[in-house]
Amino acid sequence: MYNTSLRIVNHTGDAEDVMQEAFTDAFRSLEDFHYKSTFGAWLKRIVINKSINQLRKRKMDLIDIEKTNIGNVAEEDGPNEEELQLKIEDIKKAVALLPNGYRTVLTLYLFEGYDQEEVAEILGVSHATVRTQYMRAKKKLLQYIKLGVL
Amino acid sequence: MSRLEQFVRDHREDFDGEEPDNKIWEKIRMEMTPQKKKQGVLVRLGRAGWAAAAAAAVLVAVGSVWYFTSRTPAAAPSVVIRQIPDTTPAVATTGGSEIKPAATVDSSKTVNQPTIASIRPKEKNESPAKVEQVENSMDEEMYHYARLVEIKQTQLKAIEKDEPLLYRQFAADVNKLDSVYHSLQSQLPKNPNREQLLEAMLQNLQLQMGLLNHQLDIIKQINHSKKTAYEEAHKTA
Repeated sequence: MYNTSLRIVNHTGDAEDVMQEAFTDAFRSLEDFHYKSTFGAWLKRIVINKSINQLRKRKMDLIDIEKTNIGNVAEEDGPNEEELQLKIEDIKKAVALLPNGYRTVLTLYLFEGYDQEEVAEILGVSHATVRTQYMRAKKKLLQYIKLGVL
Repeated sequence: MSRLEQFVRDHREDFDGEEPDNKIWEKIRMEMTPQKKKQGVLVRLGRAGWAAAAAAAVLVAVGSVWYFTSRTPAAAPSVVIRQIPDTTPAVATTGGSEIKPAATVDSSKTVNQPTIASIRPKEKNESPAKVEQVENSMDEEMYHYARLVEIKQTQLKAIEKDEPLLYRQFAADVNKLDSVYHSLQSQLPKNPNREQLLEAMLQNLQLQMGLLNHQLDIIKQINHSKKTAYEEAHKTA
């Protein structure tokens, strides 16, 4: 949970706040848990929602990031994924370097295992947005990794 | 699936190495403690106060009985008096124990029905001059009921030989009501609210009678089933 939150908010203090808030909220609204999913999945959703809210509080809106990043990423060709040597630490660092919007989408899809429809629902955006955002995020991530490795 | 996705999937666990500061669990616990405290109080009350809770429950039960008996006035007076002469002879004259319960059950049923109708006239009779009259009629009524209860108790006693266990249970039930009656009676000289108390006593006697009627009905049923069983056994033999 903490790692999930940390990947999204990208800030240890914020992630801890989110954790605290999410856990206390979850325990207070236990009666709202209707066993439609596992308890872990339910709690994770709370953590993720809180994390995204935390991000938005910092006024780094998904759309802003999309706008600011459309140009430079789209034009470049991504590094060849197959040539890169992937290391856990490198990926972690690269994820942390991603802009908030990209990082959120990438985190939810790549690490938390939600499919693109679910990510779209969580973020309140269209499926197409998620798909393009994810493609760009991944491209950028691989760039960072390449730069880090080189 | 691209290589990156495959890699992340294969090493998913390794990406979750970060640990939050330990103080956040402390913070969460701190935030949860108000609730925990509440729970603790509840538990403690539950454990230490079982006896108290039981006592409270008994008090509430007795209190509510008292409340309702005193609130719903034994409004039957005028009606009941009319009813009782009808039923007492029936009980007294018909010697067979089988017939008595039926007759008295009817009377108790009819007693209950007119109560609602007779509440109003009684409420109008609040003038002090009539209070004594009401009391007198109540005394009379009470006497009748007491006699009825007595008669029924002797009837019930008849089964003591045949069904000692059942009798003991029945008697215990009746005695409970009776002890309440006697405690009410002992309060009577001291209590300023005489009328209310008398009404409660009357209600108690009515309850006793209802209970006895019910018990006698049960006995009747038992006797009947015994009889048929005996007859059937006789037939087959």
